[in-house]
Amino acid sequence: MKILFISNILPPHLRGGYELGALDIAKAFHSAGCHVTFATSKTLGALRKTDRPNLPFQVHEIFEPIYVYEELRTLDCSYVWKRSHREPALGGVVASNCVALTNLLDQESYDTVWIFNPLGLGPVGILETALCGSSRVVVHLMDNIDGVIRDHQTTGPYFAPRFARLKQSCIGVSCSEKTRRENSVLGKYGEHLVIPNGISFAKLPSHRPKPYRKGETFRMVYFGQIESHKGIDGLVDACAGLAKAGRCNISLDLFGKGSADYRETLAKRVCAAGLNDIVHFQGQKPKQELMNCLSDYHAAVMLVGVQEPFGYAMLEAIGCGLPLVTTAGTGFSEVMPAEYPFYVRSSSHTTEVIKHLASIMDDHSSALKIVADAATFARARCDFDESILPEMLKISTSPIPRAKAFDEDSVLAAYYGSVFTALA
Amino acid sequence: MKSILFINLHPFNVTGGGETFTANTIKSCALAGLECDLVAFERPTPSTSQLPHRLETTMVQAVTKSCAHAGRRQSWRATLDAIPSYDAIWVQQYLGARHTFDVITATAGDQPLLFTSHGHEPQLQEFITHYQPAGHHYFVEVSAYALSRLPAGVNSCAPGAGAWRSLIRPRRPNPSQAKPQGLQLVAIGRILAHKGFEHTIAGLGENDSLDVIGGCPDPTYLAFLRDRAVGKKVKFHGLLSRTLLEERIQVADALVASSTHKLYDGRTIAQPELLGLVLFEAVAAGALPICSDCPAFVEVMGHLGLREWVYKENRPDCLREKLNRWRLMPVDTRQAVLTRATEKMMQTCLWDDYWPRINNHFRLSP
Repeated sequence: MKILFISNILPPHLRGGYELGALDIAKAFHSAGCHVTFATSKTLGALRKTDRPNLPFQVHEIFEPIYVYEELRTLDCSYVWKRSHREPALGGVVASNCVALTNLLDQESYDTVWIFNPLGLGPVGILETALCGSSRVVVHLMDNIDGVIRDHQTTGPYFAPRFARLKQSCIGVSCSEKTRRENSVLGKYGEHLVIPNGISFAKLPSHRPKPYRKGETFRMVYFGQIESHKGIDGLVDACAGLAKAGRCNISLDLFGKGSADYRETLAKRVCAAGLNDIVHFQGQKPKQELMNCLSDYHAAVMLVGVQEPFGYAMLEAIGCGLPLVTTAGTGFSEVMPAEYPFYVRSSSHTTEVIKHLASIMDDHSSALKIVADAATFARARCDFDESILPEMLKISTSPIPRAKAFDEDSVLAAYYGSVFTALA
Repeated sequence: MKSILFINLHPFNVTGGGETFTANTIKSCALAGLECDLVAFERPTPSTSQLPHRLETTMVQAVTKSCAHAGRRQSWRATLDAIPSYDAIWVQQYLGARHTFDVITATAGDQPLLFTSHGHEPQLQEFITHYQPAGHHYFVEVSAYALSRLPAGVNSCAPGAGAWRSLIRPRRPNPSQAKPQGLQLVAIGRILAHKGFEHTIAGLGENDSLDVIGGCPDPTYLAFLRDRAVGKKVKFHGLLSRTLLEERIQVADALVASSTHKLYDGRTIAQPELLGLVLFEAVAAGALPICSDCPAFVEVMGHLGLREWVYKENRPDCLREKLNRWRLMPVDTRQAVLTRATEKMMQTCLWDDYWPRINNHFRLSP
C-alpha cells in the first residue's frame, strides 16, 4: 500500500497540533506496513521553528515556502501581496506547486494521496492535481478549509465552484461533526466521515495527579500555542479573579510558543494584574517531558475559541487525569460525556471559569473521579491505536468516489488563462 | 452525462440567428435525454468589467423544458456556484464577455466545457491572447469559418445544423404554373447595417418584389433602406411571428441574404456572419437561397450544393444576374435544384441529431 501524505507545513516548520498530528498519523501508517512518502513545503530561514525530526520515511519539500501564516505586516498590508500571493495560496492555485506535485506523482504511483492541509499551497490546484491520477484522494480536515477558501476569492480568479466540484471526487475525513459541518459549505465530499483526532492513551504516563489538599498551592497548567485565540487572556483574568476572591495560593504555568507580539502583550497583562508570582511562562517543552510533568498539576485550563476543530492538548490533559476547564461547543466536546461539568461558554465568561476552578479546588477528589470517567469515555472513541488507526487504514482501501478522470491541464490552463482578469 | 448548463453571454430576449441556434441546440440536447438549463445576461453587459463587478452581473434563467425557475433572476456569482452540479457546461457567445474566463476557472477538469460563438465578439482578441487550451474544453463552432479563427491544438468541430426534419416542407412542383413576370423574394434578418439589405434592393429586377422581415434596432439604417427602395416593390414588415415568417418564405421564389463587410456608412467590419441559418430555413421551406460570398455563407451553400447561387459581395449586378437565371429556369429544373439541396441538408445538417454528432465526435459520453 503506497500512500503519499501532503501537508502544507511539517516540522521543522511548526504552528500547532495539526502538523504534529499529521506526522504521527504518517508514522503510524508506516509502522502498519504502508509505504509512506510525505510532500510538504520548503522550510527555510525564519520558518524553522524547531529541530528537523528524524523520520522513517522520505519527505519531499517540493512546495513553495509558506509565509502566509507569518503575519508579515508589511506584506499583509500590501494589495499586491494579497492579490498575487495570499489569495492564490489560501483560496486558489499556486502553479509551481501543481507542477511539483505532478512530477512527484509521475515518478511513482500511489494508491492513496492523503491531504492533511492544503491551505497555503493553493488548495484548489493541489486537490485537482491529486485527482488527475488514479489514486484515491483523502482530505483530512482538522480546520475550516471551506471557510478559508471562501474568504480568499475576492480579487479573482473565482475558484470556489471548482473546489466544490473537486470535493465530490474526494473522501473527506473530519476530526469532528463540527468540522464536517464547516467543511460542507462549499459543496460536499463524495464521502465524508468523522474520525476524531486520537492519542495513544497507552503511551501516556501512568502516574496520575494527586488530590489537592487545602493549604498547598493549587497548580494550573495550560499547554499549546501561546496566542490570543487560545483564550489565554481569559485565563489570566480568571487567575486575577481567584486571587481577588481570596484564593491567592495558586499558580499557572504556560507551556508553548507563540508570536513575540502576543507574548509581550500577555506579559504586560499579567504584570498589570499583579500576577507575576502566579503566572509563569515555561516555554516549549518536549512532548514526552511535558506529559510526564502533568501529574504535578491539579487542573488544566484551555479556554480555546469555539471555532477550535478539536484540540489534541485537551485530550492529552484528560488522558493524564487532569480536571480540565474548557470551552463548550468545540470539536473536542463531541468525544466527551454529555454531562461533563467543567465547560464554559467562552474565555470571556470569567465568572464561569472562576466558578469551575473554585469547585475543582473545593472538591478535587470528585473532580479527579469525573475526569477519570471522562477519559474512559473519550478513550473508547479516540484511542489512536485501538480505534483511529484501524478506521484510517480501512479508508485507504475503500472504493474511490470518482466517476471520471480529471483533465491534467485543466487547472493550470484555467489559472494562466484567467489570471489576467484579476490583474487587468 | 445527464445535465448541461447553458450560459449565454448575451441577452436572450432578442430574435437573431444566434439565439435561434442556441434554442435549437438545447432542444437537440433535450431530445437526447439531457437535462438542460439556460442562463443568460439580463441586459447588454460590459465585456471587460473586473471580477467584483462581474460577480454581481444580473443573469436571468431563460425558458427551457427542464428549468423550473424560468424568468428568475440571479447573480453571476450564483450562476458560477451552480456549475459543480452539472455534468457539462456550454458557453454560448463565449466571445461576448470576459465572463467566459470565470466559467473556465469555475469548471473542474472532469466537466466537459463547450464553447460556441454566434458572432457577438467584443472579446475575440482578448480571448485569443489569453486563452489556454485544456483537454476538457471543446469548441463547437457554427461554421468551419468560425473554427478557422481558433488557436491551434484545441478540440473543435463545426458539425453544422440548420433545420429540423419535421419542418422540411418541400414544395410540390406545379407544371401549370406560368413563368412569373417577376420574382417574389424575401430577405430576413434584423435591420442592421451588416445585413447589406441595400444591395438586395439594388439587385431587384423591374417586376421583382421583396419582403424584408426583421426587427429594427437601427432606425437610421432603416430610413436609408426606405430611401433606396423608393419606386421598387419593397415592403418592410418588421418582426413577424415564426408562423408568418415561415409562410412568407414558403410563398417566395428565393431568399436573398446580402451580408457584407463594407457597411453603407463607410465602416468595415471583420466578419458579418458566422453561419447563415436563414439559408437552411429557405431550403427547408422550398425557397432558393441566394447570398453574398462572405465566408460563412459560402460554406453553408457548399453544404447545400448551391455554390453557384453565391454572388460577389456588394455587387448588385451579380445578384441581378443570379435572379435572372433563377427567373428563367424551368419549374422542373428549379424543383430539382431544391430537392437536391434538401437531400444534402438532411444528410449532414439536421438539428435532430446535432447533439449525437457532437457527442460522437468528442466521445463525451458513451
